[in-house]
Amino acid sequence: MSGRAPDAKPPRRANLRTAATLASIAAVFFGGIIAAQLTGADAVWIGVVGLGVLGFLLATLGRRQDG
Amino acid sequence: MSSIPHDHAGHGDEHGHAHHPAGIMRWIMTTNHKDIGTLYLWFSFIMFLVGGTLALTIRTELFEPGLQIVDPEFFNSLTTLHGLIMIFGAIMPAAVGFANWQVPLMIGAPDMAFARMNNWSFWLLPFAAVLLLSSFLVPGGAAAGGWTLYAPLSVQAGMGMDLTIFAVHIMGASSIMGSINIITTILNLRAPGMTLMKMPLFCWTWLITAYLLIAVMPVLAGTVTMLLTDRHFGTSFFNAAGGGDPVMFQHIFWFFGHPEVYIMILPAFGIVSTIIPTFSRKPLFGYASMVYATASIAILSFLVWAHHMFTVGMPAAGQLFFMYMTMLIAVPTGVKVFNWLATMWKGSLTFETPMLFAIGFIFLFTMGGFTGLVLAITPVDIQLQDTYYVVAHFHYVLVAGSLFAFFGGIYYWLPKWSGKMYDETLGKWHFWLSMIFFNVAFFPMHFLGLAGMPRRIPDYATQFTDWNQVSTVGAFGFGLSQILFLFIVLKALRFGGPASARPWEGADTLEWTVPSPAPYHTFETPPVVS
Repeated sequence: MSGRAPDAKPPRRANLRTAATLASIAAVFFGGIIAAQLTGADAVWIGVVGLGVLGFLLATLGRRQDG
Repeated sequence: MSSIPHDHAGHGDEHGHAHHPAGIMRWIMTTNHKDIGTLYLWFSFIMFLVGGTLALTIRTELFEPGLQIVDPEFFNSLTTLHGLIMIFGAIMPAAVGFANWQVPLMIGAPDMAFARMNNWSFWLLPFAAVLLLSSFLVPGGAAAGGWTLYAPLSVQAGMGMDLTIFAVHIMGASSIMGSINIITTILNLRAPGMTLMKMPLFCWTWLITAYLLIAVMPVLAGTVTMLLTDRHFGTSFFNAAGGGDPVMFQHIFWFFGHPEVYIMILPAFGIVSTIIPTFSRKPLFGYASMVYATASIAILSFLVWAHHMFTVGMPAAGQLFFMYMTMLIAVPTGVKVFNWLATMWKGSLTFETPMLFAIGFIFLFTMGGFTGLVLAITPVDIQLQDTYYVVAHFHYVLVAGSLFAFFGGIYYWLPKWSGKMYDETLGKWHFWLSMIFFNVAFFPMHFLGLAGMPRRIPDYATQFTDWNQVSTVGAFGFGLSQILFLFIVLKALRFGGPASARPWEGADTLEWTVPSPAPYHTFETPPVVS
């Protein structure tokens, strides 16, 4: 977490990976809130929140900066 | 916070390739974070004036009891659109405008991570605004159920509600794209040596805000999608007549709505945390605790939503849980307020306009926070629910909170953005007029609320007349003061004296290492932060 290296190229692949993870979290929350209401099942709520937390961890900790 | 050992002014060079379209095409096609930041800020100011005009119409109607200038249905539309425009059209885009300008400059990045998506994020907004405002023109008028769009009223409302729902969808998509951009930029494009714990606090507050947006904007989008299908496709998510649950709408809405409050205030915290050390000529007191307090506020914001709906009925255990969780937020918020005060303590203080707005922010936001604590107490909240006390509370938090911090931020960074200095005397006039008229407008609302005046009504009992008249005078004074702000900015852009690269003696973040105005391209070669 020390920022990019002085000679680094723009980390395009890392950027796309981070963005894809964040976009999927948003999609899970959007679909999950509707699915939870449709099914009325608590498991859906818990699953949505769980996936969201895992996604955030993935986006923040699981990223690589080497492009 | 980061310190910069060397002068990196060379990194601000344009390297001879600042070619970009001229005229209107520059602004439509731009992928430059500075241009897009400017677009966001001007858009938000225009929407601020539109939302303010609606507010002044409301206050004119409320100058006297009885119906004066608008009918009750239109009055409800005014309150609804005022809230939606100010939240989604003014405050949030202004915060994104600051992020666009400042985040790359403060972390030493050449631009946002996804420059084209950045352009798209902004240009969705004017279309959403047109949808929202055009709802006044359709049969049945604009949405009139309050900015919360509560079911079942919103299920039954006219076509204006559909336009509002689509506008919310578009603004939500814009916010999510903007958040993805900000998070990716901060995580992947920081300058060498710029560890997360060396980032300026403004970047931290925006990183956390962006995470909040990713989590809650899809929830709002899902909610209004269900509302749309209830209205047109025969579902019954929130329609009690078909077996749905209108109260569930409130639960889901406020699961979005309370974090939304912090989405609007956390970037303001970041701006104030940048201004106060500069004009105190001291590092921010308790930087790490400020970061943890920001994260704590964000996490707790997901656990307090039902304090907005104590009166709908819930078990005593639920009431106690949400009451205590709400009170708990005062702890990290208090950490921030005490750290700002400790930063000023024994500092070499000067009181330029940005500092005045930052101090005004602390004073008024703390008052709004205290009335929030009052409202957190369940039995008190049940008495004050839907009264003007609530209106006073959230205007102290959002107007004197977010807006004052944004004014401070504009005065603070305008020299960097434009290369011109504003008129300091007029800036101070703007502050004092805003400060005085804001309190004249909103402090009496506490008395009105405590006396039982309900919100969202065009007519009221005669005993509320005096304070309503005072409030209306204050609202017009506050509104006119913002015309002075526009004049100050335009005067600075046209006639302002040249600004040096670092016009504020105590400023030590990366943006002050590049010339003023900041060149079109900055930090193409990353600076090294020690």
